[in-house]
Amino acid sequence: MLSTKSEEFIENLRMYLMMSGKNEREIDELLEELKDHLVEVEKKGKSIEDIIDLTPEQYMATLKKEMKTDYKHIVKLLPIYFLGVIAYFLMGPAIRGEFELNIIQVIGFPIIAGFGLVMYVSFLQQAGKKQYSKKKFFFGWMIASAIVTASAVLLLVGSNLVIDPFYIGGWKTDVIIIVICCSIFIYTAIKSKAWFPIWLPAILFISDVFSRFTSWSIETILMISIASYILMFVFMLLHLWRLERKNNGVA
Amino acid sequence: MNAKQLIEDNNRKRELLTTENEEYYGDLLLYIRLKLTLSEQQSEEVLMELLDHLLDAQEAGKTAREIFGDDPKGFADAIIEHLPKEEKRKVIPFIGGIIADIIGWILVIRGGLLFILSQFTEVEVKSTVHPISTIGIALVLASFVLFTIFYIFKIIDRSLFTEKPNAKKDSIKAGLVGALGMAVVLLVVKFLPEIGPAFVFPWWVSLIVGGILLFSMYLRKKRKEE
Repeated sequence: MLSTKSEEFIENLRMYLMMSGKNEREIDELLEELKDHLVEVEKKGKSIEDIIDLTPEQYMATLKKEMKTDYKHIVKLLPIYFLGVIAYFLMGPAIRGEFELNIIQVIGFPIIAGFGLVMYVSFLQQAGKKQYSKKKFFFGWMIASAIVTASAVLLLVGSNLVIDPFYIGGWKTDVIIIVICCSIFIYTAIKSKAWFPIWLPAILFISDVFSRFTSWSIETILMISIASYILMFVFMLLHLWRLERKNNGVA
Repeated sequence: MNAKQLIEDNNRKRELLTTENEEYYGDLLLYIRLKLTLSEQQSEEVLMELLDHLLDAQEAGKTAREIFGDDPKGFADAIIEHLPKEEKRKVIPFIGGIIADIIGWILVIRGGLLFILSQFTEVEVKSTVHPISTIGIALVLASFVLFTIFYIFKIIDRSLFTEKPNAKKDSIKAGLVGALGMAVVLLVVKFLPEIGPAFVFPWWVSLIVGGILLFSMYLRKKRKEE
């Protein structure tokens, strides 16, 4: 049995190597070997620091250099990421019946999506390499997400102030955009074998649905949205707890 | 040491446990922490004592099962029986603080939204509030959220100390309660008429009142930490 500290080191190493684009099967094989080795080492009363001459950070960087990058896998994942991010930002305006496009948005959205990708990947790499605590990881992730969202909202709203749209959608366009976005969310859910790509947008866009289809006051819509976010947070905690138990072999 | 420091210390020390002992102790910890009526300070002190005891035993080559027994739930229940309940004078400010925080955020976001919307729409943005209807909706929503959270806690509570909890079934149950509850809330909101007196509550008043509320909550938290 491994100590929790070593288990965490292995999970951080997995995240770091995955975010560095290494092959998943090779990572699993390497980590299995390391795990066996660590079990033996811990039986002798030693820890991870005693068997690597380097700091954990340097050790991870060395492994990254030694392993080949799986470019094929990266090329497969990139379109899903870009489609997903763009769907998130187009769905809201389409539901509200405000879908329109200007040239700054067309150029800016892929740039923001690319910037977001670089930021998320480097954050996850750092989190793995420097073995962030759960609290630090959570807040770091929140800040990264807030920066990407704020940039996209700024682009969406700000660009309308400086340039006229070249395309203004009607209800038909709204329906087409909503159907395409929903299909992207479902496709992402199937690909990642998880439910969150479906329920996350469902909760996020709840306020847009009410603001278009009801005459409820802004306070009512706000209260419903906040209640949904609180529940989303609790469900996420439940999901993470289950995942941790599953990794420990309980569930 | 206060409860917050004990929790931080506990998180640090727990890392030294083996996976097997962590599973046993982790369930014990969650089971006790989920009993929200117990005194937080006393619960954390007992949890720390148990952890120190377990770490010593682990160094001597023993497992949690060997020192705490094969019935972790029974063991936890015996501990809970001896733990005092949280004092009411501590519970009320705690719940009050959460409510004040939520109201503060709603007012600040409302103020911000009303201001932004009024800049972009030519139609006058509605800033009239019906306090009776709004409080009614807030109460229905708060009851729904609290009920769902307690239901989820119950699910976690039941799945602790079991070898193979039915995760899928539990997730479906929690999802159904959330979805059905939300449907009921939406129906109530749809059919609840705007009753009672109404007053104009402009964006800037909303922003100032929300800001003052959040700032005073922040000061209260800071003072408590000192």
